[in-house]
Amino acid sequence: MTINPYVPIVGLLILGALFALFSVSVAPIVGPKRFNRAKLDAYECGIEPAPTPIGGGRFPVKFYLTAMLFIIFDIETIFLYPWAVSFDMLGLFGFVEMVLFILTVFIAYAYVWRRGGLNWD
Amino acid sequence: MNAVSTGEQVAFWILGSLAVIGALGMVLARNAVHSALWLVVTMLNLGFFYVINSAPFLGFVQIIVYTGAIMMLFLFVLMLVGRDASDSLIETLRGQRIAAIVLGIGFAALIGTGLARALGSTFTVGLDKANANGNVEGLASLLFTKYVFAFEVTSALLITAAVGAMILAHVEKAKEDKRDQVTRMKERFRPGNYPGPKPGPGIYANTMSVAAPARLPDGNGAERSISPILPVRELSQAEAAPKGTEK
Repeated sequence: MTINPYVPIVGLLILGALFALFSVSVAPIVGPKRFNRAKLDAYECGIEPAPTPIGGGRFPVKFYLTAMLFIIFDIETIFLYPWAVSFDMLGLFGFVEMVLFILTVFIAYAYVWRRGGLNWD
Repeated sequence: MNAVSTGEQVAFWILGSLAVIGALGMVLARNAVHSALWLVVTMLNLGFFYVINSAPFLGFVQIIVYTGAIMMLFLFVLMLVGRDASDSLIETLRGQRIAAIVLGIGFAALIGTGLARALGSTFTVGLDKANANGNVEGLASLLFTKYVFAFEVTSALLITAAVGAMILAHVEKAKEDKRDQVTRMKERFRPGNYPGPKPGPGIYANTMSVAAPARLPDGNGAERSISPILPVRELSQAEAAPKGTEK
């Protein structure tokens, strides 16, 4: 009997939703409640969530590079999925062309790195 | 014309409605971040559409790249430029709103009928053959053999993206501004500078936030303990009050 490949995905989705609902709804009932305002604070990290600066504050533009690098490697990974699935079929030719692709993408990474795009100051 | 099964119709009406609701929410939301989050709904539903139309790879790429990476870039850009730009409801041109609604509906009708007439009576040719060994395998056998040049050129596109981001966001330092380790050490031990480690933020303060300066022994805040990129926060009376943790 073959099982539809989407059944496990839907099952995982339902399991995840049930777990989240269970944790959120049961924790207030069974957990002890001892009020302490220090518990509501950011602990050794993070910014106080309120009051927010006007306009929500701005991020340093440096983060744009981080975001763009993430997208570049994300798209590289997208190409790796079909390549990995049919690796046996493609043989040595497929291996060489993927190595070439990855090397070319790493030129982008090396460029950003060597120009100091990853330095933080 | 290919028959459309009942299940596909049900899925279409549910997902299609959700996608349109997401698109409307994106246009109508007053907050730019909410707008972007509404767009996630539309993109996610498009991904489900692709999966239902037996293109699972495209569907998952839609979810991973668009709802994941591109949406993250949107939100990053929103946070970079700040969200304080309030929109104005004043019409610059008289009758602009009515004209926009009429033209928008007209354009949608034009595109809709055009697509319906063009695609309404077409047959899918060779789809079953292409998907015979599975959608991803079929795609891979084409992408890595027949279209290998286009695939390799994609990496050049990615390099272009990186170079563009560098030009937009990177501030090049002049060679003479780059201080080597010797000059930095001399600066650090020069009289008047405290050579020890910087105090951590939030130390002995009433809050653990990194935006709160550490306390010096005399009780004053140590300004050098806060990163200059953080917004300086004045604690309110309630926040500065003792938290009941002191013995």
